[in-house]
Amino acid sequence: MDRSELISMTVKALRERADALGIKRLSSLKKAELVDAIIEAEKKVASSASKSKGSQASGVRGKDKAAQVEAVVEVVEENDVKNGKSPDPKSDKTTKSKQASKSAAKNIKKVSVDGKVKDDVDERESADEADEADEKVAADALEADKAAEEDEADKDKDVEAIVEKEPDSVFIDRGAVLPEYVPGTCLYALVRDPGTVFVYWNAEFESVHGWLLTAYDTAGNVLQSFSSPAHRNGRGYFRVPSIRVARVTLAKVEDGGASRVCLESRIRLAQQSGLAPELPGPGERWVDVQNHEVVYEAPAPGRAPEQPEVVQTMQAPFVGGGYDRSMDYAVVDEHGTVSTSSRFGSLSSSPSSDSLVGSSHRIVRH
Amino acid sequence: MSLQGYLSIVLHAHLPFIRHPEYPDFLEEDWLFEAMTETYIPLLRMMQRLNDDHIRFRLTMSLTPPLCEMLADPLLQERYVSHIDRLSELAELQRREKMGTPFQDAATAQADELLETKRLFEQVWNRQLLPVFRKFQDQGDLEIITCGATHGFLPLMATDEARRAQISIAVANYKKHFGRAPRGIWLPECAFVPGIDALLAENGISFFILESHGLTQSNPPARYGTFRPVVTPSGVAAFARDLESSRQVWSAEIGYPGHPDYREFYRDCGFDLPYAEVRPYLHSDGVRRNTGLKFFRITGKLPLDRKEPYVPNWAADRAAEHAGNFLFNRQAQCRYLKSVLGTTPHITSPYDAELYGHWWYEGPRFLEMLMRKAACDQDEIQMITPSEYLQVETVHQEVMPCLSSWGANGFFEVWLNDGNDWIYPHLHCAEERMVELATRFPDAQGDLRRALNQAARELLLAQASDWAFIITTNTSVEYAEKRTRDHISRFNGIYAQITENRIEPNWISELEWKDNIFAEIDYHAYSPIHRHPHAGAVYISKDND
Repeated sequence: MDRSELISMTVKALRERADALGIKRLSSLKKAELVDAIIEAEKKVASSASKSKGSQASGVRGKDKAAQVEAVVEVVEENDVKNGKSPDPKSDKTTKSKQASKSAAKNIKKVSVDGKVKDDVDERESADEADEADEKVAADALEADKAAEEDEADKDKDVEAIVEKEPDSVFIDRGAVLPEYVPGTCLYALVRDPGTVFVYWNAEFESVHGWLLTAYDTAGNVLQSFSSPAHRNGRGYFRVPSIRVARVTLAKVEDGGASRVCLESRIRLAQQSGLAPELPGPGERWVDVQNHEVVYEAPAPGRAPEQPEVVQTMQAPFVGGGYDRSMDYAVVDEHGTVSTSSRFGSLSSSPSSDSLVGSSHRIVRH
Repeated sequence: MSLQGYLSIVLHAHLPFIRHPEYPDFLEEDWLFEAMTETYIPLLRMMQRLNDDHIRFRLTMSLTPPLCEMLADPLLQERYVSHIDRLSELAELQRREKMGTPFQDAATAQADELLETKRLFEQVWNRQLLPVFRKFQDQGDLEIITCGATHGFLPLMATDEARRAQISIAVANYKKHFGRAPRGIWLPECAFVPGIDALLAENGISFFILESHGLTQSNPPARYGTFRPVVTPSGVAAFARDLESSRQVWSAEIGYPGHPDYREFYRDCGFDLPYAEVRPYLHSDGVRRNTGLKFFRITGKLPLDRKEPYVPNWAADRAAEHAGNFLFNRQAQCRYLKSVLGTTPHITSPYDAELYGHWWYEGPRFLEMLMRKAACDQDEIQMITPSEYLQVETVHQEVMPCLSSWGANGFFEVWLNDGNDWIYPHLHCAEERMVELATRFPDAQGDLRRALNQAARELLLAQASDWAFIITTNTSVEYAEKRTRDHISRFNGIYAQITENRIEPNWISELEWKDNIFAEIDYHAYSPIHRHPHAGAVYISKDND
């Protein structure tokens, strides 16, 4: 249906046709706007029906003229709500949702240049009265056409302004400020994966010469050691086979380079991982969970029956407030071989010894 | 053919506690509303349809305590009604707008779906979803299991008291909502370390779900790998994830949800419609977001602007076809396993519940067709819940599973890395303080008791593994950080008031109003556990003494 045919129709007929096409806010559209909206909607339907991928996509994503008209109409309608005018009873939106969008409408209005939206409202009110006469006088239709073109140009500006105003970020509340450090003195070690242990500590006392952080295996051998600057706290990641780590200690470096253990980790590590230990595991055992009885038990492969349980071997030697410093000088690898060691143990035998994930600025490999 | 194997489908339904009464409109509450609309209600509708057709199905679902608390919360129920009203309204507009276009079917189907969802929620279920889940559990079709109280990542907690509290508070909450004790648990993030099993046994839990390598690298090795559950030395059964069936659904490359006929998740009306048209359905900040209405299909590996219209009938057919394929593969898998293992295998297929419906729109349809086909078309595979299986098969190998989680790379690095490790010193400090408070005040009453209970709530909320996860995945980082900071800060404030004997009842009331999870909480859950004298180590269980 072309423009001239549409112009010759009554407003009522146009509204019915527009309604069938799914055009909204009919009551607030002038005749010329209705005509434009119908033409655009028909184009859209035809374009979608062509089943061309490109046209389908652009039909939805692009801001075609019908959509622009609707967009502007909605702005005007929001303005009506703001100005205390009753919303159109035929409108699909509830008052609630309009109220919810009131604040946004305010924003949208701000971008309308020189009260243009208000002008539109005034024009629309007067134009509504003139619409009835338009039905009879053909000359008026031409005038309406002209006015519609002008309106459309203005609406384009408004839509652009609306789109520009569309917010892309909002205020972000990042929550309460926490103290940088937790109070008290502590040293924690957490198994992160089979090759990594996360360690952090906090001390209420100073260590002028820095700290020495050391991971030990179940036999008391040094697995990995790091020195750290003299901060009271820090955190970082030991790259060690975590199954072998039994405990972690934090030692205070004293005058002359000696160190004295101040803290020992609060969590027993090796037990937690549960990965297959170096020693053979227990034998196969089957139980009846309902009757609580063992129905089959096989001896552990390659292990004498009197050999202690794996868990028991994981108790690291620990004496009072310190430990035997000689452990730092003897490093035993997984084959039981004593290797050349630095003062703080062999550092290069761990799987990822060349990298230190985490806050490496706070923990420095010794 | 005779029985070749058992299959347990386990869905993990979880959301962190995202209730914000202090704001009239809060974006993150949409997480719940979307999951309700797209997953929980469609799953209930699926169960109802099966029930109406007298099909005995077997499904296991974990409904985590925060999720249960939110689903039962009147404020969130009220807000959900507003949400579904607005969404239905937009769907109706789209139905009319898309009439006569290639999107007509998609728009109509989704508008109808929403109308039915709204009707059921308000008129049939009286806004209460938990009793509907409970009904199916009581009928024996559904097994509901619990989870950590707030989905706290148990292996990264410093104290056994905190781990135990996560479990015992979850059990108490389950009893409140479902009228009986839970038999099973979905460990938060499937994260396990030896010792957790003892805490489960202590709380009457019979089984838990485990990641595959928790068994395949166990000590001693599990004779049947993941194809039969094991029991830990504490007597709790562990059902490990089957990789093959998981991959068929999860995999981005070969998984069913990636089929071109399925609905495209990333092409949403919230971004397609003209701004003025969609604005009333956005949050008050006006930022474009997903609405849940989507009219395109995946189409293929194409840019979003080249996607084609969604055709609901095609997608429904494809879901039925995929259900048949899934069942066919399980039959083949079980036939083979039975022939080589010499025992009837059990397949555990755990998934995020939100995969079904939210991410994979046709997921509930897939599940429904799977249940129908399994019940009516064959007898090789028996769908079963873990509890039922433990009744059928009572003899199991005793194995201690190992360190594992279902996160990327299989261990804990998603929840412990350079981006989020700042959380742990604060959490551990709060844990120790909570234990200290429970020790100091064994018989608190009045405002002190309220303060202690609220301190426990704040600690639990801060411990949710979701926050560390979100920080790692870089999605809603600010929100996750805010929640962590706020709860720790509130905990510290309460701790200071209690220890300095200056409790402000009004402030406690405000926190009770804001963070109202677990009305039934009892701070004694943090009463101290015996500690081993050696080296300040926390003892995991008496079995290790």
